[in-house]
Amino acid sequence: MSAAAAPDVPVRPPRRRSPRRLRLWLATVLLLAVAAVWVYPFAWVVSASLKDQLEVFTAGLDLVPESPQWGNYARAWVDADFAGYMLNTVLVTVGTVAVVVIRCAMAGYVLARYDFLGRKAVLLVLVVTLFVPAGYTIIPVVELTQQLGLLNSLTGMVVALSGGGHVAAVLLYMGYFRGIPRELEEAAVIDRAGFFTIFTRVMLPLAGPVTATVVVLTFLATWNAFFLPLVFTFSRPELRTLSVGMQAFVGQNSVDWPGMAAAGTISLLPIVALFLVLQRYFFDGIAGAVKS
Amino acid sequence: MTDNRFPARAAAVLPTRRQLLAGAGGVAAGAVLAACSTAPSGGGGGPSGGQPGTGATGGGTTGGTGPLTWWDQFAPLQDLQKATFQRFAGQGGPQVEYTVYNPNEQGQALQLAFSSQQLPDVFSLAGVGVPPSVLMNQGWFSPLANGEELRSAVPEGTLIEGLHSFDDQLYSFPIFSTRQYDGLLWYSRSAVEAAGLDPDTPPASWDDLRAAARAVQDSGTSGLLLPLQFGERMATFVLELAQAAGFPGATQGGSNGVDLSTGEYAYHHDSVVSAIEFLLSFQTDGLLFPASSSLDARAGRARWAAGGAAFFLDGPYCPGVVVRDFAAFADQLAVGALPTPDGSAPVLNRTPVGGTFWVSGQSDQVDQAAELLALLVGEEYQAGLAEAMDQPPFDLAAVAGSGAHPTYKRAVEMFGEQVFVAPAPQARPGVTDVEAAMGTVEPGLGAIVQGAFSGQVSDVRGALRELSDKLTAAREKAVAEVGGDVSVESWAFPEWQPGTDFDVSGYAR
Amino acid sequence: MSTTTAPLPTAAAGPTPGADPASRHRARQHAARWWIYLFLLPTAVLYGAYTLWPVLASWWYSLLSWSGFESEKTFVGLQNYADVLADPLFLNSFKLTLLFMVVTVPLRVFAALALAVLLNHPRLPLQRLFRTAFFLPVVTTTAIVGVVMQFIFDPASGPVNLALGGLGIPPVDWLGSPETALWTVMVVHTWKWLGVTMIYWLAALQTIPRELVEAAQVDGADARRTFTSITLPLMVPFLVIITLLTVEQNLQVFDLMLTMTGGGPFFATEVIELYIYRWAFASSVPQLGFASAAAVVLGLVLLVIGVGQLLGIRAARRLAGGGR
Repeated sequence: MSAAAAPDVPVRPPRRRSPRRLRLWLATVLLLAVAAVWVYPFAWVVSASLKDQLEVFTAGLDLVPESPQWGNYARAWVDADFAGYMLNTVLVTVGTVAVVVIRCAMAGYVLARYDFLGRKAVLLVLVVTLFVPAGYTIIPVVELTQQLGLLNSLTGMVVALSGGGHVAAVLLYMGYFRGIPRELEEAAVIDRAGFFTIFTRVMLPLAGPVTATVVVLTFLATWNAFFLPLVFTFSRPELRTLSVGMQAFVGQNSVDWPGMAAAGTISLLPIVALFLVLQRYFFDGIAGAVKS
Repeated sequence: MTDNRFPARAAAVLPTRRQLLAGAGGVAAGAVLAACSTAPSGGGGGPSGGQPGTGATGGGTTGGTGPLTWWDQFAPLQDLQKATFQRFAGQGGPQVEYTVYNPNEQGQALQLAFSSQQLPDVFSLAGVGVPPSVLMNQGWFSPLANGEELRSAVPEGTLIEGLHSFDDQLYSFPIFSTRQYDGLLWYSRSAVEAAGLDPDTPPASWDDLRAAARAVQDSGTSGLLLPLQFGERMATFVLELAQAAGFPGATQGGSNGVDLSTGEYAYHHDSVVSAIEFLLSFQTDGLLFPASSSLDARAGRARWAAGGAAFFLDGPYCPGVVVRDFAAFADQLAVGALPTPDGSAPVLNRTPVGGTFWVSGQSDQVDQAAELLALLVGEEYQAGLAEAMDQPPFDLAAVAGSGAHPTYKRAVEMFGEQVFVAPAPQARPGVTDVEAAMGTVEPGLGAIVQGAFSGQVSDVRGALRELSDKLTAAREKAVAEVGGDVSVESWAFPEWQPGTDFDVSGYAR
Repeated sequence: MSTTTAPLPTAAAGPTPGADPASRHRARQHAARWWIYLFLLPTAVLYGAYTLWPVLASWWYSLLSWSGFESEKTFVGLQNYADVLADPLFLNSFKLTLLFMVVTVPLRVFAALALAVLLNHPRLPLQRLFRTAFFLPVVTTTAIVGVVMQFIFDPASGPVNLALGGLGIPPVDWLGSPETALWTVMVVHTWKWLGVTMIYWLAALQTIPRELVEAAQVDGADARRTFTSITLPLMVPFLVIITLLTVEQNLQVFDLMLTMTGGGPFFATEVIELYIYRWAFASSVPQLGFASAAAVVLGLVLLVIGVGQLLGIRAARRLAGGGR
């Protein structure tokens, strides 16, 4: 929608004052309109979460519910156990992000700064498998996890989510560590600092921007992850994450749409709040992926 | 990460994470995560549970302790199940851990649970397309020790060797009646009245329904709503309508699309084509609810109940959903029989309904599970089924005296008059093995119906003929693979007259 | 953050960087050798177990006839591959995936660029609000998006059709008709992920030196000329990277497609991921061997794309090098 309209209003550093103003205002109005379209679905979710079953279908464009049905939230939070799903999601996301940052930073560091036997082979394998999307290989993943006794546990989910892919994170760290001047490390060596100390005290703190990027990208991917958590929780619905938990509202003969909308709103709130608070880090993090 | 002792931990980064999570879980998550740490012992992880693939059909073991696990997809029966489980515990049985699934998910859950030795003690086979006899050979089930008690409790002729019992051992039984169908004509009294029609005489013929839908459409509401996105349900409607138009076969249980007089696939039969054309005519005439193409049965039912359309084809479970979810609509609800080409009462044939619940071959408490299942054939449970208004109980008489919605009672009454028990080819040796070996043929009837509505299938008869041909070829190939007694004749019951109940003794050839 | 010395992701496959020939350094490297492998261990174990092994295993599965419900597996050689390649629905899903990529990748990349250029205006009011609004869908769970969008695009009472009806346009069955379903999902997918690409572009635009733009203005260049002669050329290397990132993300449409259309109507939106899923799980009699064969074929194609990307990155680096 914006695609068609936007190029017609390039930001011009203008020669005269009034057309410049005008254009700026035009751009603002245009952006406001597009942004309104952009967030409309969210308004719809919030509105539907306060309607009753029939009203969801009959009210049409009307976003204001006749009488707010707060019971939908109680149903989603308590009956459908979204409190539990929320906790699961947070634990899985935090665990996955932590594992990914640690393992990718370590791998990226040695790949960037040391020449060792098998280095080229490792790199080749990483690059070749860069585009193996998770999901196609779900069956062996499940079998393996089951043999490790980790199927149907949050730990298993974290292990699988942090083990699959994340090549880009390794490569990001590698690229960054490679750009750090050798002298920094030499100085640390003279201070008799060991391999590990150099990594944790010198290198990792320097790589803060990359870590931010990896954290944000991993966070987004894990929070949104659907297929793997779906399959991993088939046997234990109480371990579902938020994205999978939506299924709980789909019954054999009916779907609880308002409950689903309420659950959707509940699962949106923390992430939107988090996003508003940490907005700058989010943007810097994502931007880092391009800049480096 | 600035911890100096990190090297020691780095070497064991996995256990560290694991402990960290387990620790966090114990502190923060309480019950939720506590459950996860006991994961493997809960369900069917019984130590000596039947190893799959060993060919052992003996199934699970006894002597296990702890709660029984139970999975099914019958959301409308939730309260009844919970009450029954409580009753069971009250009689000294173990507690039951009960999970209601979305039917699609359950098949996938079972698939994974079986291979990871975590089958629940008791489960239904929702979403599983592989015939029970094949699963049984893989070690999925345990026989029911109280088979004799159960046999005497269900109506005569319900249990069939090859469907419910194998080698004379009972493995499962239906809790629902064979006498039911999915294509009842439900409608909204107010919408019909507003169109100037009599809400007490539902349209009986195909032309009546078209005319009624036209009248409703002219009064400003859509005529008919079809859950087109639900291909399987659409296929069922078509097969039932086709039977009403003279298709010489039955629905359900591997007999779909088979001409039971010859055993041949006959999807291209005139009656199937005219059934599809009948449904299509609502679209061509502009009498179809516009969103039909993107609605499944659940969403369709909701849209219909919200006043989207006057008529809706649906099974007997419709009033249950309306009463629970759309109470405001309940007194508008009315029902008629499946419409037939000439308006006479439909005559429908259904193969015997399969077993509802099965005890896992990986269970370590097969005896307790069997005792629990015995409660389901009792009067109390059957009456509960009637009240729950899902599929009708095998004890159809339990419905009349229940507190069920009048339309539910009417539907069951019609089932008693209009539905007959057809022979099940699956009861004959080798048939299920052939079915399992045939795999899936796409596009199936459901997809063809969808394609006809979306315009992607212009030659319906040709597509149906292709389906019959592909199935015939697949069956021939599978018959050759399986070998033994089985042949196309196994699907043929020339002596059976549609519109009569098939006698169990006729399975022997 | 350095943009000149820091290498681009996959370039590392090239010659060894930073291998300092100083002998002292070498000695230290020798001492650190076991540390190196220790550092690689977590990745080797996790990645090996959860990425490499599954890939290898699915190659093996692709040679079997196996339903997943049965424990019986029969070796059938390349039969599954023959079946997959002979299945018109497989080719159909392949085409749909390609079409999806060919449309959504440029759409997303250029729409985001346009948006970013607008948002990059230093005097634009409500900057934060706009960024937040455009980023919101990114952090929204796809499952919710799928459900909401079914309502938004409902042919009878959805807001889109009600709005069009206000303009006198007859209702369109967005998700139910084979002509529009895939395109509708494309729009929604772009809606959901545009925010990320927008941030990429904003970051890229920040790298343009202000003096350059000001100098051009002093020289009398108007906005269009400034854009075409300064902004665009500087954006070209970024264009390659951002396109690559977008390609990778747009290959993964499984959950959105599943919740919005389920592959229908009549396979009109059955992208390859859904095809594999249908055979592996959703089919009444699953055929894991067949599904694995389809997955392997897809994997090979992705590998080709991956190699193409590598070459693309190389080209981008040359361009970037030349620009400076």
